[in-house]
Amino acid sequence: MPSYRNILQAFTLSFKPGQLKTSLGQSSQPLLAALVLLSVLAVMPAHQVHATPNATGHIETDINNVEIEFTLPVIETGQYQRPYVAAWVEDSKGKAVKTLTVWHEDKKWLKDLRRWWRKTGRYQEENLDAVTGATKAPGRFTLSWDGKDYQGNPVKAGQYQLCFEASREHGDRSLLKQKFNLPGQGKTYRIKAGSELGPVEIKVL
Amino acid sequence: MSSAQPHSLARLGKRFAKKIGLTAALTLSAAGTALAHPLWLLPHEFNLSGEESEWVTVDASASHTVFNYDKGVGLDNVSIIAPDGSKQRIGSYFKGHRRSVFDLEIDQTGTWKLAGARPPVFFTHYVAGKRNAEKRLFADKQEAQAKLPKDARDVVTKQYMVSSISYITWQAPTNTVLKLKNKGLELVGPTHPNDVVRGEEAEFQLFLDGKPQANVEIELTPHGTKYRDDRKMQKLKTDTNGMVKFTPDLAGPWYLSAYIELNSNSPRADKIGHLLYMTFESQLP
Repeated sequence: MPSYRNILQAFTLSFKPGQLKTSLGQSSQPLLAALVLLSVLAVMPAHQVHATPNATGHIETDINNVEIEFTLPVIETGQYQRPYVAAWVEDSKGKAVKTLTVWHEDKKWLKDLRRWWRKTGRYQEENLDAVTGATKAPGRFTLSWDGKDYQGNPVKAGQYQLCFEASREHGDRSLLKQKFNLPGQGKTYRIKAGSELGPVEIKVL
Repeated sequence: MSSAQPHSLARLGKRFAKKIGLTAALTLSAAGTALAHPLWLLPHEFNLSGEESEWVTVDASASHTVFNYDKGVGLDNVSIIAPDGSKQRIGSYFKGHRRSVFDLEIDQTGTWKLAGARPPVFFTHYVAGKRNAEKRLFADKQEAQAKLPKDARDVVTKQYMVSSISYITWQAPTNTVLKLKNKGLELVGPTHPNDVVRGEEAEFQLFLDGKPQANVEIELTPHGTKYRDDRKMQKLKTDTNGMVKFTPDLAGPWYLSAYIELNSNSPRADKIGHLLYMTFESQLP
């Protein structure tokens, strides 16, 4: 079961010097870690560096990193309730490899995130607490995927699909999907907005 | 299931018998599925996600419009099988003129089975009169002896075994309630009945007395026939392995009927027809 800390790492969007320093300070071998970091910085183009410290303080570089920016639209209606939202990744066979986030209130209605619930939600009770959160008001949000599956193992190179689903009480359901390849060489994808969700911008490094 | 139960379903059968007797158009060649009103059990939810037990309400009716109410039915023969395999009766229920209703508390995670069965029904078909009119009696082979007119010809008695099933899943689906009983006509995966998805191929396997059964006549109809011209009914047959494949093009509840007729060794009938109805949900992709 991923810890809250791991999830924070999974959500780390990009290289954040301040955060790194803190983590390095906790490392038993800060000097070595710093050297590793420096060597990584030396060989990689700046935009591909996604250094996140793992639980033991070692530095990992994730070139399989997916950055996502999306909008929950403002919907003018008398009966507005914040939508339930899920974002997850499926492999080329449609099997869910990782849930990135789930926003909900009562789990009773999680089934209304129809695809997410069927593909993965109903099998992942233990893995979900770490990625669930309360529903959110309209706005712009960011997410990222560190290229790891539920077990924390890096996924193989190949084709994947990012899925976004939103369902609102007394409103619509939106399902947005985008296929992408890993590694993605910095390619950017844009998904047009559905009635409850989007637009979405995905950058695959 | 037990024939010692109150025969409200059988009474319904009698009504059909009367109706059919008057309707010469329904001939011997008509499929057994045309014999009676399809009997369906329709839960208000097929998949649940909550953290606590939830009540599901189930409508039951016998009707040709999918899923509009026509005739309320006695539900004393309905059994509920919980994911752990334990069996319960439905307790009290409402039986109206047009539909029957019961509520069910889903208090175990996994897949539940709802199963209703009519007691065996016997029809004796014959041809009589100068015009070779095809007729039916609501009687088994022995009872028919006394009732048949002297000039009855081509006398065939058929026994019908009718059951109606549906499934409800809380959290992840399980397979305990889908295990074969090796008795009568049964349906199992590969596709779990709570895992049918619009636009994705689903595959079921039909078994008779525990063996895969070829040539089972399958009819599949999506909900809402009342509000469209095309019934959208697919007629299929199981292959040599008892398999049938289809791809639902509509999300929502679907109605499946499966029928197979075989020769019978019973002293009460010449043929036996097994009729299985199943209600399932095709989910949004």
